[in-house]
Amino acid sequence: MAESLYDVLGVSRDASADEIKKAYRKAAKSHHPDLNPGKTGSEDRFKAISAAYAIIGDEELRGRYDRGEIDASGQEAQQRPYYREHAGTAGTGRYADHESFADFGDQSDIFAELFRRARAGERAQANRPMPGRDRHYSLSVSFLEAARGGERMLAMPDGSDLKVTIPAGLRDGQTLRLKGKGDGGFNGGPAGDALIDIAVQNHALFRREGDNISITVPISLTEAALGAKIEVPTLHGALKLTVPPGASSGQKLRLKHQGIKAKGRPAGHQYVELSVILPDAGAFDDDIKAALEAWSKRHPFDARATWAKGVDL
Amino acid sequence: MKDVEFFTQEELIVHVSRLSADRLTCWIAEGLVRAVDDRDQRFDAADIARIELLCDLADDFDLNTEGLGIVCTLLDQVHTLRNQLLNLGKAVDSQPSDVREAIISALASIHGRD
Repeated sequence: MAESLYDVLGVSRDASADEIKKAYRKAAKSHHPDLNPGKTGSEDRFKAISAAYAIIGDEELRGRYDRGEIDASGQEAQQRPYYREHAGTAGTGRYADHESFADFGDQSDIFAELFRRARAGERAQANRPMPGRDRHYSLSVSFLEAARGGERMLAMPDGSDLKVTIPAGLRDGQTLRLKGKGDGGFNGGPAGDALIDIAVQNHALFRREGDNISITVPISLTEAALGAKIEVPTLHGALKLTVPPGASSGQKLRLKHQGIKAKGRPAGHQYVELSVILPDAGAFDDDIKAALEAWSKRHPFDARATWAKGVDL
Repeated sequence: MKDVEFFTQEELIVHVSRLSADRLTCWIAEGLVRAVDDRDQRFDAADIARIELLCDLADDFDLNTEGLGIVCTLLDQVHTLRNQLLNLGKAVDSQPSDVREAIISALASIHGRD
């Protein structure tokens, strides 16, 4: 804190005018350059004392100084502006933040209405047609419902049911908009919409990439070696799939157009990834071991011949 | 009350001693300070007061630009909310006394539920 004018004269803030006058005379006497010709620094001190007295020795100026209207040098104290004096006035609309209160609409119609109008920059006009409020819902659908499409009933807060048509190929995170199924409009305005946020659950076997479906299907060693016709589930029912002889784990077979059949898009495919599963070690008896050894000699095969070629390790 | 006075960026810097050109450029880029109109890039007294506040927060409370952004967002929300609440209060005030009573008792019962 800077030295106050009262400190300069060595008086208290509530000193009387008389006390101030006495203090001034005393201080001036001991610091006046002409009365103290050899005292260094006395000139500055005397100036300070005179200036202090010029203000607090004057009843009106002292009052203004006490109220902070003028500073110690008698200058008009700069009135520092505070933002709260401006915030929210008509001139600061560019800083208004109505978006952050959008959620109020779910809990209070009056606030929904207030913020809606404020957002649109409209003056409230009671008789103007206003569209109804949108209503937000969330709906969790199974993998198969989303992939195949279907219908669901959504219980409304008023007890009624809203029929939601799930289009085939609906994706996780998508929002369905049901026009006119939100709140009713005002003064003849259109009703708002129902917006339904969709969460799609995972499936134990099917995976999805866009409109393509993949599934991993276990096959036996015999089926892999000799080839087989196996039954594979698809979105549209089980299908027979031909496993070619000499199939390997990781090999992918395509069931054309058996993926998601979304409206307006070409049908996706189903990819079947084979996974060769061997029985327990006990099943490999002496006969098969001997046969395998003999077979390996006749057909030497390095399973890792090309596996790590050209790969930085 | 004199007419609304407008300031250019240069004038803002002269007006607010703690404001540098770099600082102003950054704050405008971050949307912390916004011109009254985009075309002429003019600012008004509200912006000066806002910049003083931003300088306080940056200099006295060591807030960085991210911090300023968070504080400003919350502050703008609070002021917007205060205004709407005030308007709502004025609207309620202008209602007949039985409507006002009904609103007050409805408020009391909501508080009771919470």
